[in-house]
Amino acid sequence: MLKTLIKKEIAATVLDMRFVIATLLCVVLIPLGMYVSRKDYELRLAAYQREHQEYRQRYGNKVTSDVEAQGLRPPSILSIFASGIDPFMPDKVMTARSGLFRTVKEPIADNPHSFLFGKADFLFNVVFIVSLAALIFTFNSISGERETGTLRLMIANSIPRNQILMTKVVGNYIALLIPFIISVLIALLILDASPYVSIASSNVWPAFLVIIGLTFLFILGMVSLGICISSFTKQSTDSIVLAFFVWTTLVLAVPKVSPMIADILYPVESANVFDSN
Amino acid sequence: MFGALVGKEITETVLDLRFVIATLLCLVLIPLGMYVSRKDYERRLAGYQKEHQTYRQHHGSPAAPATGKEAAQGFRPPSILSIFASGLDPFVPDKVITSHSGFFQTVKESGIDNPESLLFGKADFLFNVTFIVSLAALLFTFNSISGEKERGTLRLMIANSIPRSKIIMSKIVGKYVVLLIPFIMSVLIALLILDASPDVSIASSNVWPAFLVILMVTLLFIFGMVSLGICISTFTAHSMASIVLLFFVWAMFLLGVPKIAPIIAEIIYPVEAGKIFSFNKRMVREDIEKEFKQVKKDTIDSKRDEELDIVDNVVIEAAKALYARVRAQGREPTREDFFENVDYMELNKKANKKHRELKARYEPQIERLFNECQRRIASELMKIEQDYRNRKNVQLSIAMNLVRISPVSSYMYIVSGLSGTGVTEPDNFVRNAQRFQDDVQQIFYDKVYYRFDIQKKVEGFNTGEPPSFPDMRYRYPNLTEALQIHWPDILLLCLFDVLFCSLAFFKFNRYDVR
Repeated sequence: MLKTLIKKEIAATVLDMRFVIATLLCVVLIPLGMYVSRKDYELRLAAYQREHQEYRQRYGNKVTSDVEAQGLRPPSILSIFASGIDPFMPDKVMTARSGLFRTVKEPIADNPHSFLFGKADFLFNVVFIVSLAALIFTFNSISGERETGTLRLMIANSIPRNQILMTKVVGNYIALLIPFIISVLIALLILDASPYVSIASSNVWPAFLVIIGLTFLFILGMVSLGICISSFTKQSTDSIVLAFFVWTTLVLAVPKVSPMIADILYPVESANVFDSN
Repeated sequence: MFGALVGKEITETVLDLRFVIATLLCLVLIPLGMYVSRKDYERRLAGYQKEHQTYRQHHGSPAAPATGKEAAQGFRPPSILSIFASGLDPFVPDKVITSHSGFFQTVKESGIDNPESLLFGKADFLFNVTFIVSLAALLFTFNSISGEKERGTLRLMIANSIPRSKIIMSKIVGKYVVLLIPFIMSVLIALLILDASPDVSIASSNVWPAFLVILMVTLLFIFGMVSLGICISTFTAHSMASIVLLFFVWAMFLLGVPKIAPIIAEIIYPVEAGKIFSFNKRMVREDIEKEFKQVKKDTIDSKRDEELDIVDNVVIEAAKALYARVRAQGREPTREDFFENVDYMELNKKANKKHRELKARYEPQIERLFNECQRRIASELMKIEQDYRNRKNVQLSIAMNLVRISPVSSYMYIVSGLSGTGVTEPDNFVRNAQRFQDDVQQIFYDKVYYRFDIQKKVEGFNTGEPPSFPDMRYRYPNLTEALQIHWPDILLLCLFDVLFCSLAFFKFNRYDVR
């Protein structure tokens, strides 16, 4: 019975327009985001290697008392998946006789658009697109079936409620994983086409497997959240509104507001003021 | 009738859960975002003022004696309007360091105070409107038509001879008015929070005109989103289909198009990265300098050194002869033997005079060669820079035009441009930095300079009392200039509004209400 119900959920979702839309979005945005991140990594790596070579040629063998030694930060290969705070991290360290090193951040020279509109890396695509897709898939799982009358039919046929809920979670989860895995595979092909990146490298594949594992857990969480929200409401419209509110709170509001609340609760002067002092 | 229809739409939406949720989100996020942005601005302003003051106290004037290689520093003040849209502000350099070579250096302070806010992003006004308010607008409207069709009320309205155009117009106006209620309330609260800051005054002439334009453009944008939601609702027969289609369109407009368009522009018209270009510039400069140093060595230095050698050889021979004579007397020569020998000292004086004559004779040739070298460097670099800038502008223009397919991008361009944090700000920074370099060049570097590593100075310039460095006069584009750049985006927003409304009208006129 469980298998039949799961198949029914998967079939219902796959035959819906939502599946087409989610597939389209995943298959376009995730590989594209990976391509952009890969290109960006290649550019940063080339710049780092050139700067390092230049520095070595100019100062490597000619150390005088007035020369500051420079240390350069190589780009992290895994920053392809999540740029995070990498754009804000310093690129260079300059040592000093006094013992106080100085950090240098190269200002942007290229493509102001990608800084204005943000980078669509893997992390962004999962957090925004895939999570929203998970909620769109599941918001009317319970309330929608109630509206159409099929829920009461299932209950009337003595199907345990926990089985119904479980099949909904599993069915929708599998249906969402299909486009996600297809797009991740395409993205990996794009990544492996780079001469600078090898998925099989021991720096990459273990971390990548962990990232994928966590992403699967995250998607399961969002699917469960959508079904949970659906079980709180009687109408699909109310479900989508509540789902939107919860999504906005969890994805946008809480991460952005929490550092601010921490700052209010326990204020600390900024680094510049501290350095001046 | 129209008034009644609008009233019905407003009542229906206000009594819905959606209105409560949207109001809650707006009232919490917009003022909170404004508070955070205000605090951030105050911190950046304090940091700028402190750094500027420290610089003035310790490095405002070159240390005496001036060598001509000292560097002046210019600081970029934070834009007050960056409170509304942080845009590119975190990525634009904070400091300019001039150089006697003519090439200024830019510095971006790398202090990371709050890594969480960098990781999760800032919820400024621009973000809140483009994400939250736009999504709220679509949620309010997605089932305006398809939902009424499902409930059966749409066919009742049509059956009562209410013109379709009035129905659709009342929906657009009603939903728009309802969405504006929480939005305007939250903006007013946000303005109160902003005005509470000692560093910001809404009434200031730098702020309120730009703010009014931002607000007007935001109202246009929200109208566009409302029209889009209703337009999408006319394309579908079911609410579920509407929400899915809406989600797709929203994701494409907000995320897909702005992120894909620059990639397409780079593929259509590739331009090398800025670092590669800077590297090429440096190589060209070094090559020309090397070439001229070789020419100087082959043409001037060789001749001058030849003549100097002849003169020096005579002195060396005389010294050797004197040395031999003293040794022949059975003692070691001392300095006094050389200083007291009149002939030797006379020869030395003549040699020194010859040195000075040769220097004076070859000096103009060296000067001419140096000027020629500088002219050639400036000409080559100008050509390379102009070419690079033209190609970069073409690429930027392609990206901007592609990105404008999305009304969200047009809105983001306008607001970030008006806030002084838009895509043109890096170029504006470079212009200001160049102006600062030129100012310092005029006051200092042109007065004490280097010719082939030899220090020179102009008549009357005292290296023991060098002038203090000027401040960088950083200028953000004013409202008129920003509007001149972004008027196509404002026009586009209006066109999108008209387009979505027209499409909604067109589709609804053919909509099957049964």
